[in-house]
Amino acid sequence: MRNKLMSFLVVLVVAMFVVGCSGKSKIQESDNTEVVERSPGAGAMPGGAGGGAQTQPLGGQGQGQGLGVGAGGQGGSGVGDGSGSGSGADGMSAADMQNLLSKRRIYFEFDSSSIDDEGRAIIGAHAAHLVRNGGINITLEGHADERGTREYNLALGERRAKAVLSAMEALGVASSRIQTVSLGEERPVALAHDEEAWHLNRRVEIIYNN
Amino acid sequence: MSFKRLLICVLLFCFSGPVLSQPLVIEINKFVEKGYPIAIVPFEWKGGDRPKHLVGAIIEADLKRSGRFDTIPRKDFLSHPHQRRDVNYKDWRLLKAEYLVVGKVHQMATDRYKVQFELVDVVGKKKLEGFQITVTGRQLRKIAHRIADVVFENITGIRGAFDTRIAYVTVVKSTRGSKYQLKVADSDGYGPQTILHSSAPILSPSWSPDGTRLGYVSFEQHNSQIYVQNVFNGKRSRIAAFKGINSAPAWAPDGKSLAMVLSRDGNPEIYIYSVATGKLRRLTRHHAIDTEPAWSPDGKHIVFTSDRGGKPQIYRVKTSGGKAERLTFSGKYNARASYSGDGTRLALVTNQGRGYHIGVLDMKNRKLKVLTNARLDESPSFAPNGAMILYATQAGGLGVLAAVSADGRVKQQLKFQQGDVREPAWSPYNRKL
Repeated sequence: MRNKLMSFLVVLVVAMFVVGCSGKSKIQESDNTEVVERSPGAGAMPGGAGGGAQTQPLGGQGQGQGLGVGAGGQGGSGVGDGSGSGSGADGMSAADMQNLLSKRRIYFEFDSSSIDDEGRAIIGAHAAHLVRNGGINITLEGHADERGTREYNLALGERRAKAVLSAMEALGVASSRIQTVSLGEERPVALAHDEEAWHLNRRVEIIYNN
Repeated sequence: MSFKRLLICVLLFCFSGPVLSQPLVIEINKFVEKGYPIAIVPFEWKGGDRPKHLVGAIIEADLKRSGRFDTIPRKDFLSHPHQRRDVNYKDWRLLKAEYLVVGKVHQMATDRYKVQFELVDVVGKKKLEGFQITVTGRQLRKIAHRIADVVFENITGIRGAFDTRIAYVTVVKSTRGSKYQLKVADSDGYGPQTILHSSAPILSPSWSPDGTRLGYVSFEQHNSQIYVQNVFNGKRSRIAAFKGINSAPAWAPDGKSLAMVLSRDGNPEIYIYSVATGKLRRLTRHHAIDTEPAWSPDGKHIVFTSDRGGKPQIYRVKTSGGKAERLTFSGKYNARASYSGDGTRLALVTNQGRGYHIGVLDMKNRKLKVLTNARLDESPSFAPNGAMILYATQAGGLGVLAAVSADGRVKQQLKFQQGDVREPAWSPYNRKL
């Protein structure tokens, strides 16, 4: 398992390099920064949120109000994801990779929120870090793979985030320092439709807010 | 190209002529059974430039798409009558047509068109239906769909649902991030219009029963939140933004409330939200996941997905409250159920061990019939007449929309030109002209 994870991390580093250089990697989401410190601020809105959303009226009715009107003004909202991918691999030494604290993802089985030994070790390291450093807060972001319905997966992502929350609480971290959010299957890190991708997508991400 | 300019291009694309604004190509994959043989004669045109919406062609496409009709190729026509009294019945019997649609579109003024149509029984040599109406140019498509509805109902005995809309979500991914759009198009995919642009996921559009508003889930504030948006004027309000999950909005049949899922009290539960007062009433109380509520057409029950039995299955509870009854027992995963318009069936996502398929549960005998066979079919939505189910599936690694007849005999795929398409929702009947 550990070897598998290590090789995944290596692949990820390469992938990030490719993203940084060509901008054409198949890995799309910006929150692919497995072991990279998020820059301050980015952590508060992880995973490329910050979504500008613009509404538009529907035409095709009665009086035929001008549909295009206002459309030009809709721009702007394009700011998007961007938080992670460009930030590079600074600080990512081999020593860091071996450090449990640098692991920010807990993986799960299908339709499950049970935490395995490796997950427990990662949670333990972060919990200890949080206990030692009182000023730090985190967000636990729960995710699911694409199988099953989107709404059920949204609930499943929350259940996973809460399972990690409970484990951290049990290790002495005040729940007031931990936020949970579920993104369901909406923000996959691996875009293929196979077991390997599904495994990588069933995860809770530990995100340091400050 | 800046995002603003790109957006304008997209809008132009949406609102320009009929060729450009037809991003949907409908492919009918299989006809198992023979349909009703019908001939639709191109409508007579009198006026200036031909309108871009050809009434006869639209009627023909609708009937063909339903899978219940065999439309006779125009090239075989021996005559081109535009009213019943000009019909030479022998010409149509030779082509084995049992039904004939004839009509005219006459321009009365700059933007006024008189549309006449007749449905003729070739065998009985009589008129079955017909009407005449004066409309504007942009209403021509709608009138064509209405005529198709009249023809469909007269011949099949089932109310037509061509004059309806669909809502869906498209996703275009790039290295700059994903772009999500909530769109509304005619039921034939024509004239898609974006009603929401976002850089964050959009989920679960739900039509109000009067067809004027959509409830949906947006992640624009990172957490899931529920919005209601008027599709005509774009006005929207956020109706649920509690801590935790805010999702799965489902409009009550009377339009006065929405069922939704909130986890503000610890885990996902079904709540009923009153549109008038903004008050919430909690309907379920269980430590398991309760989600994906859908109303029965009489408003007395809500079906929902719960894993209270260990795996996701469909349950039903009275909207007044009480104990939930489990409805599905076959398969290891049954979810996202919704009622047919007559309340006799549920469309749902089912996994019987070979992937996620669309199934229909008969509410009388509780038998589940699996209708599709791809790997990841989801989001089933009945047409308001219950004849077809629209759903999301994958083709070539991308999300596409597909439709299957409620008996499973006819399948069709709706192909878009770009991006991922998902989360379809078929509108109710009510649609203003």
